[in-house]
Amino acid sequence: MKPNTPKDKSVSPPTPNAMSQDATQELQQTLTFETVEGMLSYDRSETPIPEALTRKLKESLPDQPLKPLVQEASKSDRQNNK
Amino acid sequence: MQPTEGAIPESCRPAEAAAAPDFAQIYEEHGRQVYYVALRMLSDPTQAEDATHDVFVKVFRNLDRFRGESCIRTWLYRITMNHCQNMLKSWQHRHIHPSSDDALWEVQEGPDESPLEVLETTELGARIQKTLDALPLEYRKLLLLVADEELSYEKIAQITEQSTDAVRGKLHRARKAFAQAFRTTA
Repeated sequence: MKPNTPKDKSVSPPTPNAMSQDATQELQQTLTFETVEGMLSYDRSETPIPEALTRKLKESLPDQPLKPLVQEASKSDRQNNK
Repeated sequence: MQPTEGAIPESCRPAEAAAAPDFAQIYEEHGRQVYYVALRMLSDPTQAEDATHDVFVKVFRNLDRFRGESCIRTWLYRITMNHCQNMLKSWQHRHIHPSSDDALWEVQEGPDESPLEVLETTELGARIQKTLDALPLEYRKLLLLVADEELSYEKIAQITEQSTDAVRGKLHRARKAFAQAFRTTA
């Protein structure tokens, strides 16, 4: 199993797995991640899903009761990123 | 509520064990992950949309063949990664490169987001994409998979058809490579 890496983002300094503080000074004023996967997980939750996707799939599979994909709830309190 | 001992998480429940998993539910539960992986592998929102569509059509047509030996999400990721990899190979073959038009990265503003947050997210997404594009495809795939909290190293090993130790070692190098490449995108 994966080690129990922290998935939530916080204001603590990044680990060697994350980006260096100097290199991302500008970004860290607002967003700080402890791990690369934490950053990607946040990115996934913030990435908009095109509405056309469900529409197109419904056209291909008209009998399927597909609902539009909703925005993923952020896994952690976004205020912690500030 | 405490989960029942031995209970299989909803998203990892084999199709046979679950009460007739219907296609709409699979799409609702996993569509976002599939689209995200396709987007970050292909670097192009339009192509990612097409790939996600094709993956789910494929899933719909083959749902009865799903043997329940792996969890649905593992199966979906395998189909998605193979599909995207084939698209990338075909582009390379035809010398087509995904669009780098900045307008494609525009993020729709959510109801609770301030304009500043949108700006940050847009920048972050673009930088992550640039970083991933600079990495070898194998690293890109492993990082996208490990970012899914529901996937263990064992499941990532199943999807990418290698040993768990190999996954662990490559992920260590992939994280370092990502951090290094990310610095250059500032």
